[in-house]
Amino acid sequence: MPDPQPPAIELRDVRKRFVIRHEAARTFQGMALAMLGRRPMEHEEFWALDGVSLAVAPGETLGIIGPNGSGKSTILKLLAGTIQATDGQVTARGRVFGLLELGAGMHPDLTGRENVFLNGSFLGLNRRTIQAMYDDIVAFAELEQFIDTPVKHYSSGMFMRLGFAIAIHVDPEILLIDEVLAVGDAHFAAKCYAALARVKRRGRTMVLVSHDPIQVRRFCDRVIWLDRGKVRQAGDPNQVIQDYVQFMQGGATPDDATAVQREDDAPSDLRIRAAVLRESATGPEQYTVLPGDTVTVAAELEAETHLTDVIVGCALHRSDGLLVAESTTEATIGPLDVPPGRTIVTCRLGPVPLGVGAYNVSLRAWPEHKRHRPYHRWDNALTFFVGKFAGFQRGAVVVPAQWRARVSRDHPPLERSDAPVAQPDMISESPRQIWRSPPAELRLGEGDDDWLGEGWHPAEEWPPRLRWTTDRAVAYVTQSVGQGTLRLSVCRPFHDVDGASVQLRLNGRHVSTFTVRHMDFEDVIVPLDPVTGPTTLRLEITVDEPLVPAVVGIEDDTRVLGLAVRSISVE
Amino acid sequence: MARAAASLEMSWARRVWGAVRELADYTDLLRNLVVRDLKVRYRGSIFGFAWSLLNPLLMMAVFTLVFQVLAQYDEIHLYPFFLMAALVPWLFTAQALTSAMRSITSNAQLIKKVYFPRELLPMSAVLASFVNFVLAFLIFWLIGLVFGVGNSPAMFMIPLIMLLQLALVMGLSLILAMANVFFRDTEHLVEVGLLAWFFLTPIFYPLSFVPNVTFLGRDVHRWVLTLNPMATLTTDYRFAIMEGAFPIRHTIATIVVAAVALGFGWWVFRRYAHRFAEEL
Repeated sequence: MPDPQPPAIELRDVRKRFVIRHEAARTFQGMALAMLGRRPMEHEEFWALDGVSLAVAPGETLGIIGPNGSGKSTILKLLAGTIQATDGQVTARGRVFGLLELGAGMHPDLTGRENVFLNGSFLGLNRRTIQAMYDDIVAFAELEQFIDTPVKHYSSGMFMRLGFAIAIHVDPEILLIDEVLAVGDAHFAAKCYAALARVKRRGRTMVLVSHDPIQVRRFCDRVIWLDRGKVRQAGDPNQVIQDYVQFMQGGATPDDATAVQREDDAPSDLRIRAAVLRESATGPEQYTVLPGDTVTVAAELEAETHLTDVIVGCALHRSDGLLVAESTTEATIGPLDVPPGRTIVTCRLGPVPLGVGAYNVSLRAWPEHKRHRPYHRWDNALTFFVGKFAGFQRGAVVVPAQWRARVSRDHPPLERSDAPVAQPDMISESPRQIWRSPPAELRLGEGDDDWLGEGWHPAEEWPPRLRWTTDRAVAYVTQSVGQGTLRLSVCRPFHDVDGASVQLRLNGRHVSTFTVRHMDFEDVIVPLDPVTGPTTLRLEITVDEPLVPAVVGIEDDTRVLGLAVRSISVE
Repeated sequence: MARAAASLEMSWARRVWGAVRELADYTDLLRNLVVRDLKVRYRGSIFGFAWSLLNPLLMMAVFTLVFQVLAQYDEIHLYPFFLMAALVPWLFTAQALTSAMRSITSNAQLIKKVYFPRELLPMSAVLASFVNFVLAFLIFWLIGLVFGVGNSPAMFMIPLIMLLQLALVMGLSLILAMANVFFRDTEHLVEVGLLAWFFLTPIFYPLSFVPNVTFLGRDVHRWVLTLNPMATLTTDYRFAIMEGAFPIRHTIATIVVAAVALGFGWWVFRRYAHRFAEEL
C-alpha cells in the first residue's frame, strides 16, 4: 500500500556542480586578460552531489554520514534553499529551518533581545509570533541576566545557547542540523538532546548531519552514507554506521587480509567466523553505549575438529591504540571444549567505565599455554563508541564521583601527613580477578616476565638466561590443586663465604629463610600448603646482603644485585 | 511555499507575483534589518544621529568657504541653503549606493547559512539611509524655515521627489550589490564613479552654471538633464525649496529611468541571487 502522505523531503536525481575559479578571474583585470587569450579563464569543476535521490517521510529523522567532502553539507544547503541544484529536483514540503550554524543570523552589536527578533524574522516569523515565544527562548537559553547585553560580549557558549534556543522554539516543520551539538557544555548538550527528542516526538521531520555516530544512532530512524557525492548505503542506522566505521578504519571483516591467521599460514583448526556487539547476550546489536552500560561481545567460532584447549581472548583498545582491558576465558571459565562446527561464545563487558571515544575490540583464539601461536587472531574486529552523558566527565575513564561541600569552622587545619607513599606493586594483590592467571613455571628472561613484579633487573645471558633481583623482588606463579612444592633455581653473584640470608614470603606470609653462598645455580625447594583450586601465589624474595659489583672492582656495574634467578616453578 | 514552487515552470506574471508575496512575508525581517542597520550605525558613538547632520554641515562649511570667500562668487542668495537643498539628497544617494553595494558581500555567512529573499539586504541598506536622509532633511528644513526658506506650497512635492529618488537608488543598489558579488572591482569603480557623478551634478553650482552651448548637435543643458537623473532630482529639490517652483518637465524622463532601474535591478538581482551562496 502506498504511503498516503507525500514525503516531507524529496531529492530526485540531484546533481550539484561547484566551479572552483581561480581568484584572478573575479576581477575585471583577470577577465580582460582571459578575453585577450593571454591567460585562459581557468576553472575546475567539481560534482559535490552526483545523482542523489532520497525521500524523508514526515516525522522521520534522517541521518547523513560520510567523510569530509562527501556532499553532506551540500544536501543541507540545498534543502535550506541557500544554493540551488544544477540538475534534478529538490522538494521540501513545509517550513524549513536550517541549524546550519548557530547564531548565523546574529549581529554582534545588537543585544540578545534584539537578536532574538532579528533571528526569528530571518525565518519569516512576524513580531507577534516571536514575542509569544520570547520568554521560553530566553529561559531555555538561561540568559535572563544577559539578554540586554550586546551579544559580542557573550561567551561562545552563551552565543550557542541563544542560537539553539531560537532554533528549537521556532518549531519549523523541517529542521536541518549540521554538527552543532558537538559544542557547548554537557548540561546544555543534554538539554539540547532532550529538546530535539521533543521535536521528534512532535512529529517534525529532521535531517541530521554528523560525524558523531552516537548522535546519529540516538536520533535517526534511517541513515544514509554519502561517499563522493553518491549514496553508498542507506538503511538501518546500526548497520550503516557499522559498515561506515569499518570502511573508515580500512575495512576489517574476517575475510579480509587484516584477519591474521596463524603466522605459519597453516590451515587453522579453528577460526572466528563472525562477531557482533549486543546489548545483552540475546539482545539487539549495539555499537554505541554510555558509560556504565554493559555490552556483550558475541563471537562465532568455527572448528574443523574437536578441540578441548581453546582459550578465547577479547581485548579492548582505545582508538589511539592504548590497551584498555583484556579478558580471556583462561582466567575466568578456563579452556573451552569446542565441538566441530559452529559455537557461539559471548563475553559480557561492563559496566564499561570508559570515557567518551571510539574503542576497538580485538578477538583471538589460541590453544592453552600457546598464546603466541593462535588459532586465529582478528584485530579490530569491532568498533564501538562511548558517548557523552549528563554529568559528563572528561578523561579516559569515568570514576563515580560524589561531591559534598561543608562549612567547617571547628576542624583543625587540613595538613598532609609525612608518611611516605608506598609504591604499589606492578601487579595487583589479587590479579586473578582481572588478569589471566600466571603459569605454574616461570623461566626468567625467556618470555614469562609478565609475571614479575617490582625489583628485577633486565634479563641477561650468562648463560643460561636469568634475571637479577635487587634486595627485594616480587613474582607470581599459580599453584594448582592439592599440595605442592616451590622450586627456585638461584645463585649469588660471587662466591661468598658467609652467604646471603634470603627470606621468602608467599602471599605476605613468611614461609622460609635460607642461605645462598655459591656462584653456581642451586635449587631451593619450599613445601607449599595444600589448595583446593588454582591459586595465584605472590612470591616475595628479600635478600639481606645484596652486593654492588663496583665495590669489588667491577667498575661500571653499580647495580644492587641480590640473587640470580633462572626459574621459579610450582610442582 | 515559494521555494518549492520555484522549481516548477510558471508564467512570468505568476513568478513576479510569487516574488512579491514572498517579500510581503518578510516585511518583519526588512523592518528588523533596517532597525539593525540604524542601531548598529549609531551604537557606540557619542554623537549618534548627529553625525548624519555633521557630515553635510561640514561640507557646507567647506563649499561656502571656497565659493563665497575664496572665489568671491556671491550671485546666489543664501548659498548655504542653496547647497544643502541638493547636497543632502546627494549624500543619501551616495551613502545608500555604497552601503547597499557591500550588503551582500559583507553578510556572506548569513547568505551561506540562512535562506531569505536576498534583495532584503540591499533594500534594508537603502531604506536605512533613506530614514536617515528624511530625518536630516526635516531638521535642515526647520532651520531653513527660520530663514524664510522652503515655505511655499511646492514643498508638498518634496515627498514625491523623495520617493522617486528612492526608487532610482533602490534599482541601482540592487544592480551594484549583485555585481559586487561577481566582480569585486565594482567597489572601486563605484567610488570613482560617485566622485565624477558628484561633480557632473549641479550640487554646489546652479544648473545655469552649465553652459548653454551646443555639443554634438544637442543642447548641453538637455544632455545633463536627460542623461543624469540626479541632475533633475537635485534641481527639483532646489527649485521647490529655494524658489517655490514645481518639478521641471525633465522629471518625466527621470521617472522612466527610475522605473526601468528598479525593474531591471530587481530582475537581474533575482536572476543571479541563487548563486550568491556559492560565489561568496
